[in-house]
Amino acid sequence: MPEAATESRKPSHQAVPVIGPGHTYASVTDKISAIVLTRQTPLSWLVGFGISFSLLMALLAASAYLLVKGTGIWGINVPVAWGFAIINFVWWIGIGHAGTLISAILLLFRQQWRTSINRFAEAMTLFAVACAGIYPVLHLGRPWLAYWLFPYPNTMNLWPQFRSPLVWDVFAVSTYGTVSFLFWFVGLIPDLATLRDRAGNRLAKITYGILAMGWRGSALHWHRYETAYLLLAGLATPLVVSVHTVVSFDFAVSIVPGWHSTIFPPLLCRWSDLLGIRDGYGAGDPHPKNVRARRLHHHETPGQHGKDHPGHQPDRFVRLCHGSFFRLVRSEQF
Amino acid sequence: MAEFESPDDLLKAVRNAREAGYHKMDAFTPLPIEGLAEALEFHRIELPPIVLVGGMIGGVLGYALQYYISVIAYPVNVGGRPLNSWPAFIPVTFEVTILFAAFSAVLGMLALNGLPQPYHPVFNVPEFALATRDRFFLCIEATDPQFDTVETRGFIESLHPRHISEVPH
Repeated sequence: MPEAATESRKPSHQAVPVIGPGHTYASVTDKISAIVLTRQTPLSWLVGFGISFSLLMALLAASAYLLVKGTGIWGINVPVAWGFAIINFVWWIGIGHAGTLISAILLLFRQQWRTSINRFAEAMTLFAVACAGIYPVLHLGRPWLAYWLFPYPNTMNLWPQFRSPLVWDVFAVSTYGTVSFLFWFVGLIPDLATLRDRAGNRLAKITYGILAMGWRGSALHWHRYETAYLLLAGLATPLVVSVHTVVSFDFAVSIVPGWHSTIFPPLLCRWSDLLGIRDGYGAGDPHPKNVRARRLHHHETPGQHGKDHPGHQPDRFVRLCHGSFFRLVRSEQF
Repeated sequence: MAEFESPDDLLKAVRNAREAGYHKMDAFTPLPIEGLAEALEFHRIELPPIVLVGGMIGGVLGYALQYYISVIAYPVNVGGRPLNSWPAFIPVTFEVTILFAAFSAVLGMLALNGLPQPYHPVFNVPEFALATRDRFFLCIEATDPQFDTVETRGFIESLHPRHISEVPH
């Protein structure tokens, strides 16, 4: 039995081959660039996009109604509460955080399977931050004056109150959105260069060319690039924790009994990470059906589905997050 | 410019070229290769200090902004508490520090790499499009003191590359 135990633990100590059997550098590049360059947009994507788009229209209609009627339509009858808006704000920020965690922390921990999910985890973060940003603005009452939250010299001689968590939110979320964008874009540069060199039509070539900024894969460039990417990951990790801490301050810095509590920052951080990582990874690779991504990146051949297989590391990670989230919810007795 | 099929071949070629006395050269790869920059005699640590200084500037500016607003420009007396209530200023100071550090990392990297760069002679070689797909290139530059069109070509041939091309410029 001890032998078997060592055997199954072995893969985590060894480097798992990044490219799956049956693939080469060329085939992986071609397969992935074909998604954007040549393959036809599938009908199912259009259907999915149509559904999402109609939901977006519903959001627009609801927001228009909100602007006309005021935040009372959410049933808010306490003047200091945001109600509906803060729930959505925290929810979306949490989703975004998991995206950054997947990408940044797994990079710092040298988890190679990260490469199969990091790009859309980062994209998920960007969109989640955008969604989150909508709600604090909507709840302001006069959203068209949202720019008053920024410190800029104005004719009214007014400045923001820096002792308020609402102003901390402005700085935390805008920094978070900006850094997430930088992290995502820096990650994209070499891939944009790949697309530039693969693109067939002139317009695509020029567009990707501009975005890739003349990247040519020079060894010294890669060296600095990797340092920058690692530093960004190192900066993004404490940033994630600080942003969710600030978000939790929206509750905890109030003097409402039951909410004025120091447990809020760690509680919210942990909740969002666990739930979001599960959502983020689950959305991209709803296991065990979608094995395509794994075939490209992990040491797994079609038909091999052994549970102790190294290719299942991500799944185990997701299950772990899922499990500990529910344990946490039970133990907090909410 | 020589084209190789694997990172190991390229690394070997770079080491051979260095032993042969070439110094002005560059390698181009579709993915980062560990040890390649070192093999090309690149050991400097440039980016971390830039990011550190950027972050420190951000932190000072972030705190200074809040101090100026809360103490000088728009003081609000809340029950006689100190105007410079520093614990309340920490979150924003931290966020601005990270923001400046992140910008220094990205802009510093791009500036040191000389990007964006709209034109570079290596793109004149048609095969170079594969440098972002699956080929590994070594380029010995004509400005190298040991460079000689015929001799260098002969040397590169001895490395057994897949293909040799001259970079027009």
